[in-house]
Amino acid sequence: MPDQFFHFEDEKVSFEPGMSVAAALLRAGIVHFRQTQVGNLPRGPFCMMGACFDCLLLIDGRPNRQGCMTPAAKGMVVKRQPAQTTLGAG
Amino acid sequence: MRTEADFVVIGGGIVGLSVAHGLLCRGQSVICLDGSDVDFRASRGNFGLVWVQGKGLQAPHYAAWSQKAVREYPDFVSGLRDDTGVEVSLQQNGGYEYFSDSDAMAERLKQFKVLKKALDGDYPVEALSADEIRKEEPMVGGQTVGATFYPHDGHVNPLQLLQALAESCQKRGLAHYLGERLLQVSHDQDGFHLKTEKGLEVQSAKVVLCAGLGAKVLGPLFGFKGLVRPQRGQVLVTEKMPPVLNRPSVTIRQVNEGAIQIGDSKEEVGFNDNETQAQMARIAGNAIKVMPKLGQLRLVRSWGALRVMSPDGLPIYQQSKTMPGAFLVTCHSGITLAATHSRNLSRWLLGDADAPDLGAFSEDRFNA
Amino acid sequence: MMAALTLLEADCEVTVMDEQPLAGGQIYRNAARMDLQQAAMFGRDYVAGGDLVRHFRAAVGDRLSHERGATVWSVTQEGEIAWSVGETSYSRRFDAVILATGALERAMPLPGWTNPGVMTVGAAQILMKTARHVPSDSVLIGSGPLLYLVATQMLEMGVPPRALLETQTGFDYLRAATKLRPNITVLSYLLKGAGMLRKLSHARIRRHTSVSDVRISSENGQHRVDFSSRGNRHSINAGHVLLHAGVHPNIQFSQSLGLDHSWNEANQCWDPDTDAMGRSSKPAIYIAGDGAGVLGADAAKLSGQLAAMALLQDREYDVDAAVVAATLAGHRRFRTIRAFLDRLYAPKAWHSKPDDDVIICRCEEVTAGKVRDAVSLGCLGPNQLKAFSRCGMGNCQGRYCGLTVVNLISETRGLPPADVGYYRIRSPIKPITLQEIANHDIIN
Repeated sequence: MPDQFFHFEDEKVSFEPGMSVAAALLRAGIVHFRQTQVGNLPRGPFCMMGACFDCLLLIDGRPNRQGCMTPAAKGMVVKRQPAQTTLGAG
Repeated sequence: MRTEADFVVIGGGIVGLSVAHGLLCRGQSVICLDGSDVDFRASRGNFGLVWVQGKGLQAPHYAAWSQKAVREYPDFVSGLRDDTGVEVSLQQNGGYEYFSDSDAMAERLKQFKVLKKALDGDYPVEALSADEIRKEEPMVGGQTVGATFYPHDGHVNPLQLLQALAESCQKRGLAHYLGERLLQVSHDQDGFHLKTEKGLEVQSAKVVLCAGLGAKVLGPLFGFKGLVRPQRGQVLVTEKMPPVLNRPSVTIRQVNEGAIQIGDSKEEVGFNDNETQAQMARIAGNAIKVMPKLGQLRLVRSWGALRVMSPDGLPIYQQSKTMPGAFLVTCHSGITLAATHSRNLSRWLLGDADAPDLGAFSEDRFNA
Repeated sequence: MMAALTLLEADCEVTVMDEQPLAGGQIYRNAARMDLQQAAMFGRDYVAGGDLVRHFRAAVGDRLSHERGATVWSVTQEGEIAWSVGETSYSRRFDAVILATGALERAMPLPGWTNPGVMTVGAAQILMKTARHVPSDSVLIGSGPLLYLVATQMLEMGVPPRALLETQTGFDYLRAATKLRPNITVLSYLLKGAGMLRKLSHARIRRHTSVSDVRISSENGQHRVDFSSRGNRHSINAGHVLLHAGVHPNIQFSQSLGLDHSWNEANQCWDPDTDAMGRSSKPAIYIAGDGAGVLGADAAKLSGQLAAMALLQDREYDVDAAVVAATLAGHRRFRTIRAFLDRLYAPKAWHSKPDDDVIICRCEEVTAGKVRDAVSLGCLGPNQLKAFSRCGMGNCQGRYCGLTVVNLISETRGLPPADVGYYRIRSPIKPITLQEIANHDIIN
């Protein structure tokens, strides 16, 4: 089955249906998902089961999305979450 | 640590520590008997407001007392900072109460007019129109028709304030006993002899009861009526945001770490500080009515806490009639009054000539 | 799944609230989606898990609903459940609730544990099960059967780990040996374990034991792991670092409900109090599986049946006493291997009570030193500590710092952990938008 793709920063990341965004990113060798709010330190997935909240990403403009709990979808726009998140248009 | 002192303060929350702080600054020796980690500690569950607006609408003396307290806040906080280096994140540029009902706002403005007169014009409250408030606070939208503004209202990080007070008191020689609940009191010409549940015995010339809801049980030991009851308030806390709110309001404020704190409720449910789905929904709904964009924020945690409520909601300051030297200090606005509890209450507790006149706050007002 | 199926057999109306999009929980993650050949790489138990998932899926219908991707954010003592699917939130009152929220991997705070590329062993296993991807050049650190299981699964998938750094010592083996009981369960367990170790040895996977004082430094996606073992200091490079120090019950719901808990000294964690069948300290609330106490997946299946049968008994359904007795007996056997495992793989002080400069609250970035200071300043317990340090206030609400905090307070105050208590856990158990909370539909 041919892979599908979503966007991460400037790259296209492939995934198979059913994979989480985090799993697809890890498979592509990407481990740095966000910067922390207090110390501006880099973080990536830790537990992969929705409990640790370290895999937070900006997905389709919405911040604080758990990458490991979000199924990857074709055309999704995923970005690293910066230390300071912003409100969307609402 | 000492077991004899000029004063024993019962309760180590914001009220107890503010009172202790004031006494220590006057050179008194103080012992504090503080409860346990699982007691209902209102000091850990409050909203963090330093607030005048809306208080004492039918009791000008309370409005005046609150007004005095917030005016002394900056000095109080810088004193703590000098002592401890702890930053309590006081922001005191004024605060709002938002209205989505024009009649309710008109009614409130009428009440302010009456109050202002009773205070000889010393009540600098303002009214803002729908447009004006939206300009001041871009997050405001939806059904808001206007807001009232009081320039000395503000907010503080209540946990940091508590920490600063604890450290300052410690530096000034407070003997702070943790996990000690009062069991017995006796009083004779030597003063007060207090014994705790764990068997600790302490002695003092005077006692100040600042035990929050504990005043109901402990008050009578000193001859107080102890007319306090729990009133639950629930609070929601969102994920952290960059600064989006300029000033706090009674129910919505952005804390210094970035989360937005939203309240509240006033429930008479006894000693139950659980959060409830129904109130969380109501509080969230009300906040969204004022600031629609809040809807997309995620709630990370919530809490319920028990306010220490007197029958009329005003503080109680009372010296015991049966055991002179014992004092009751209780209120639900411990954060707002912290500055004055430290700086002015000591004069009353020490019987100074220039002590504030707190007669209007005595328990006598509850005599039917 | 077992609890739901047991209740369904008695013709109850059952709803399974599942945070994942597919049935299977963590242990059988993706089990029904994989073809047999792929599934076999994860072992016979996993393949059997796939069967259970398929069976469960077939049973979904009028009486059994499976709410997938449902994030439950509140459960009350009265059985009111609030949950969120997609962007919509619902609330409904149920007659009884069985909590089956499983376990969490114990946090292993050590220098560098928050670096990107450092994950739990369980996380790696989930990656392998859901994306068939093995983190390359992994160094696995910690203790417990999962280390060997995942290492052998990596071997099967053709991407062997670089090394295993195991924290158990010779003493641990000796003391654990006294807990061994001669029965079938224990024997089969040990045989399974020996089999895995043989595979690892045959593949010449490097194993260090008595490992302590681990430090991870990371740069450009590569890691260097410094550690002590048998009196020497070693250094090893890795593409990924995977941590595991056993699992403990996920007590977020049970704590938020105010259920009674007791300190499990052997597993160094808080276990909810339950009777042998899974009744909690409050009526109409039951706990099944590792969430009641860690006994493993096979025990969890029996535990699910027992909790369901307890529920049925309490609602005065006819429950076959012989079946109850047999299931109880079967469930009891799993305790015998537990004592051995808990002793052998007991958590170590160097990572349960880490040095001052180690971050122990990942969410709020609070160090162990800040916690010790706050306790010295008068924080009697975890809740005052929360107030003074923000530890436990972040997104994960204490899941990965709670037990460390208990240990640090215990150490600093000289109190047994059982006397230290735990965080007051509140809803929302998972974050949920204000909009959803405001608009939640109440289902009747």
